[in-house]
Amino acid sequence: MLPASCSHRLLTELQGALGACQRKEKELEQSIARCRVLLQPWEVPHPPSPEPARSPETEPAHEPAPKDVKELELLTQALEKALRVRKGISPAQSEQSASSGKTAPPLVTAQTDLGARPRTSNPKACVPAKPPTTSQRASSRLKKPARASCHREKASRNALTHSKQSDNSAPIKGPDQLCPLPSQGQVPGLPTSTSVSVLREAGATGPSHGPEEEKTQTGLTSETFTLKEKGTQLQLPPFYKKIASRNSRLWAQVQHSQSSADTDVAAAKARFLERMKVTFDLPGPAVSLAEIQEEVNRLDQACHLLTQHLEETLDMNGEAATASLSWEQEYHRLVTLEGLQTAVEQHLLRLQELQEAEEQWLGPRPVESSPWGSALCLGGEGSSGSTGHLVYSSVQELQTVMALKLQVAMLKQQIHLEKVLMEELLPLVKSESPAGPAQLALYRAIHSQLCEAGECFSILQPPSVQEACSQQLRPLAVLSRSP
Amino acid sequence: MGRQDRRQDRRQDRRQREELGPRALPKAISALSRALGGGPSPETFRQAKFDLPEAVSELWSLLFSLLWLIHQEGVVTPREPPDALEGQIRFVKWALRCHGYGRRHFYQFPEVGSCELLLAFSWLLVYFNLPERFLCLNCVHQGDNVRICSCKELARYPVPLTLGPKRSVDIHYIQWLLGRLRFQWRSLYASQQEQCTLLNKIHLYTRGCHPERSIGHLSVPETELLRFPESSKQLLQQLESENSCLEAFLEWKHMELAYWQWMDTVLDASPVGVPNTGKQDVFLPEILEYRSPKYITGEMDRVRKNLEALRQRLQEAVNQQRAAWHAKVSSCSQRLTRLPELSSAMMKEIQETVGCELVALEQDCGVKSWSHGLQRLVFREAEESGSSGTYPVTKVIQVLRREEASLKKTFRRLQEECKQELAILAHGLEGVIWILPPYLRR
Repeated sequence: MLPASCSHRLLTELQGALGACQRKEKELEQSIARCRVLLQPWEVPHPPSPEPARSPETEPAHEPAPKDVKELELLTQALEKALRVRKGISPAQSEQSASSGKTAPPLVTAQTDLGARPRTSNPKACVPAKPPTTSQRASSRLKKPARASCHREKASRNALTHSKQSDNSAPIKGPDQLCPLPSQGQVPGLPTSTSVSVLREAGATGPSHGPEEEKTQTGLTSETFTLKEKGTQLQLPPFYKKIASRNSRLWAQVQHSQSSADTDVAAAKARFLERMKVTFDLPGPAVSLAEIQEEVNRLDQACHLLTQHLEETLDMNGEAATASLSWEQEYHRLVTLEGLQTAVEQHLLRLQELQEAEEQWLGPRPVESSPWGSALCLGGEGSSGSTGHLVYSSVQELQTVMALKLQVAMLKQQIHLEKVLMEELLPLVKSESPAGPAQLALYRAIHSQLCEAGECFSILQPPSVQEACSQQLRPLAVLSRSP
Repeated sequence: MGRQDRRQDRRQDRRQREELGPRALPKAISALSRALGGGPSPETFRQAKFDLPEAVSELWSLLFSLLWLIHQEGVVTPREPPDALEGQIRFVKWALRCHGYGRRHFYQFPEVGSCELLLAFSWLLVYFNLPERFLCLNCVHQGDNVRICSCKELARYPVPLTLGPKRSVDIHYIQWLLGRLRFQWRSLYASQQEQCTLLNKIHLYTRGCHPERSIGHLSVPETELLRFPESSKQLLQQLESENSCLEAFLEWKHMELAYWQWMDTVLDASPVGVPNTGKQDVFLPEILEYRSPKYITGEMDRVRKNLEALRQRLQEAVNQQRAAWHAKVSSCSQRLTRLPELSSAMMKEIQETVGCELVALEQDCGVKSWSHGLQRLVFREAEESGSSGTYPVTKVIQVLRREEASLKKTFRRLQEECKQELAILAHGLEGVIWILPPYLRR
């Protein structure tokens, strides 16, 4: 067991870090949920058509135009013909090719199944093919997340046709089939979207007749509003546009007024501030607590930047031998390092001053903490209202920049925790030397955490065990790495 | 359309600045109140000048609402504002004390005159640059906003411990928590990648829909406006009130001088240095009430340790470099009589360049070249030269990569240090065989 103060500090730090991560995760989840809501088909306010056994998750069906129904029929017949001409195979053979796991065959089966819809001649051929095709489609969905919505539409069409032919098996099989998917966590977003579509498919089943199925299908394809297909036709409402344009115009004026500052006013304000300061008659150090906090943050940032500069200077002529450096480079390096040194000394002096001032403010440090655990941030720099534009040109760029931001923050967290662990755990290791098994376990844990970021473990064999297992040493060496 | 407006505004500017007659002050004050989202009337201010008690409660609530808003910015755990006037007064006094407001009469207990409150309010206006800051804090976000700088990304905040403060835990529990943290990092990464994909899709699908050509596509809030028209009313109301605040602010800007001239008279009129009458006590707010001392001093300790560690490293590096330099100089001077590369002019030049670099570094510490504020994400496929106010993502990526590389090096260095320390220990242990895991070069 670790000593109490050590445990306390480690737990505080770790809980703080975990809390920060959880907060960020929640923010991201909320944002993702909002985006998903927008990307799903929108509810277009049409009068709902008579629909049997529709689950509440599905959007209300739409009144299809007879023209669209006819067009779809013609289209599917044409596709049928094309496929027959191209492949010259029966539907059973096309299902065999579907099990090869490519995207094209599942699409082919989709088409053939659509084609098979008006014909009820071979329901049996379609039913056994359903499990492999849905799983193929599901795996292809995992592989190509970008086309998730497109596949979802095809999948829904497929499910509806299957449901028509095999009444009871589809609602049971559908969810079961796709249930294992959520456990595959590589693409965390998709399993939930597939489960939504599964619910839709499941909900859409039920005994229903051909023409009605067709109607709902055409309803799905022709009247639903998806952002993907018709997003560019969106128009912001005119009253909103007016208000928003006025808003941006006013902000531009505000910015303009800030840049062209009135010197009279600035002088008057400065004079007022000075006069007020003269009347301050309470005792205390010249620098206020808020200013102390701000300066400490600034020094922290300075330390970070100086460290970065140092790393870059030392690494600049990294593996190259010193002799190969030119005179200028050597001298440049020397002067830079000395300059950094003076800067650090200045910062440390300033920090000392700030610490003294803070002690004056807070008095001798009391032992017990205040009832409010968290600190109230003494408002720092106000953010400017004028928002510039961060322009990106591809999704990879956006992902890279966000990932880098997160990576930098995580590294900072990791470094901080490593320092805390070093401070708390290394003294434990140095102080006690008896090699009892519990102590050895502690050493092993500390070593793995501090040196391997907890990913690899070493093996410590206590002396008492050695005599018994001296012959087994070699196999142990093989096992030296445990994940 | 825009140019004409600007000309009109400039004409208005000139006209209004000449108008600083006796009627200017009440107009200025009412503009200020409106710019701050509805504050006291000019009559209240007049009453305050003459230290009348009717103005006291309004001024207290004005001070409280402003200070509470300012301190909510960047607070990690949002808290409920105190309802009772007493709690609010205590908060205001604490906040002003922390910011160094030192007028003794302000901290009197139980009652403070309204003139004091008026002076405190004007001091706040200058110190916090208030009307502007208020607008920035309350501005309605219509776009998908991100922060360029990563300092607030995973901001640490002290969490109240669930277990009693004196209980001790096992090292394995700590390891388990660290494992959970690693897992969290991975899932954060995955979630963020997904968020980027979804955002990009929405931007792609709504190309050409935004009235402003420079933006070109809709953001998530704007698309939600179209998806859920019922909830758009709230957004519209907020925008309209922001518009009226902005207009009031622009009015205020023209008439500000009158206000400050008037405040001079108030300061002249207020009694300075009047000795405290016996029944009024000065009750200084307890600084520690809202802030755990461990947190402030903890921060300072951390920064100090970092700086000291940096100093030590620099000392070693400088010594090494100096030795190398002297070796080079001496070896060279043995071979040649003159040192060609070492002209004093060149040395001076190098000194100057390094000086400039370091000064630039110092300036970076205070004001980062990227603004700390929020930027709107804009998707633009073609490579266009950035106009002012647009940050291309590629530059941000460069800066972040540098930072990442440097942080990784720091982390590896810490790990190496630990390995050395523990290796010393391992030699000290007698009779124990310690098999280290094979080190993979990651």
